[in-house]
Amino acid sequence: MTKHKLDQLFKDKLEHTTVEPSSMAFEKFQNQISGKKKPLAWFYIAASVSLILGVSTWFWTKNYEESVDIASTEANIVDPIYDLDGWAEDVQQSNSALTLEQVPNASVPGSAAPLVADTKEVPSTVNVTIAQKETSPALEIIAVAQSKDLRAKEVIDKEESEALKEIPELDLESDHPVLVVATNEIEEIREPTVKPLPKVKITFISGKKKRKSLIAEANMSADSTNVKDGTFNKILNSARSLANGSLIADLRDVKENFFNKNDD
Amino acid sequence: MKLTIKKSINDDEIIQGCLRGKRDAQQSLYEKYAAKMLGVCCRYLKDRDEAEDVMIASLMKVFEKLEQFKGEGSFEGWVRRLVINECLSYLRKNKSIFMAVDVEKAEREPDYHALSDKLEENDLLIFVKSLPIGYRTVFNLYAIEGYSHKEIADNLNISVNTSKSQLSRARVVLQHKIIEAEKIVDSKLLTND
Repeated sequence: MTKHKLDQLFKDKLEHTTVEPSSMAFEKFQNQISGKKKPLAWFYIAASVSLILGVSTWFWTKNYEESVDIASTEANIVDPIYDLDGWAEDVQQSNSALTLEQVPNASVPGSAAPLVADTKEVPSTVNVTIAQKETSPALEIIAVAQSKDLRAKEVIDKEESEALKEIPELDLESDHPVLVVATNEIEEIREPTVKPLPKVKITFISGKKKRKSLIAEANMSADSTNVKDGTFNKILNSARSLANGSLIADLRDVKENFFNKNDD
Repeated sequence: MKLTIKKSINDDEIIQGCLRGKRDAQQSLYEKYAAKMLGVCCRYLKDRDEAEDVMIASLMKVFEKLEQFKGEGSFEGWVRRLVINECLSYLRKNKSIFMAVDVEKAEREPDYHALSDKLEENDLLIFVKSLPIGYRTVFNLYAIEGYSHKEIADNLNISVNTSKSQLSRARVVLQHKIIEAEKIVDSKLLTND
């Protein structure tokens, strides 16, 4: 195919034509070259700064998480015995040994039981769990802690029966105004005497130990503390003998008896 | 008189130097190709400043894509293609390329062979630059760069027929201009005689 004569003329003349650029063009060229290198340097600076920040943030976060883990573990250890239900499962899984110590500043278990009806249900729930998981030595030791509530219940019974004795019998015929408000006053007086439940510190000892040696150790620990009303096995047996809901039933009986007497 | 001999650097040295980011190699590339590539840009763009900007941007693209040059064909041809693509990209972004203008056919076919001696490069460049943008672009690509209508159609995102019609109209306009220039040249020759 022959090329058009017009096309050929223009191709021959213009294909290799040159146009000299202005001096400004060279300056623009140099500026663009030097401007192109700056972002590259800034890129490396920014990249290294972000890398340092990233690594330091990672280390900081890691340390923070570890400290949070330790804090949460410690918090769980000194938690009130209401949380021992959850602990029981953990202990069963880890198969760790336990020793039981009484916290030095803890109050006497018997005096610490609450008198309000709502709080009475919580210990009994824990006892149910213990009764179902008797096979684990760790659970048996936990049961010791729960037995304090049993003793607390006994003290409650004792205190309530004493309170009933202190309240004079209602004489309807005498129409004495003081007797009408007596029940409410008793409630108001008793509320400030409520003390927190005893705190139990449980220490995990890693490694596997036999059931007997564990119980023996726990027994010794319990004896060395201020638990004066019996040995470890005694407490353990009483915890085992505690039936489901028996604590609630006993407390309810006491309450009903109390109000029945007032009604009379 | 002081005689300075400038050491000529070949394309391989320029390429290797530019790949290492050497400033003197980059300047050598500019000195060797800036005028040639500005000549290309001036055929596509009427405005001189725009042409210079596109030429510089094209050389920057050369530095960016230098690793892609495999040595197949001449380095100058590779640079030229980059410059042409940059010109087309600029036109697509900033100009409305095609204008439908009907052109009457020229009264006669000029004697191109005779004209090649009479007309200078600059005259022909002025003729090309005076073309409407669509005619100019297609004429440059087809007549001077040697693109096919299919390649032009793909590059400019038009149909092959549109490319053909733009080319034929460009030729008619250029014929008119050449005949007028021929008349002027002949009248000058007559007056000189």
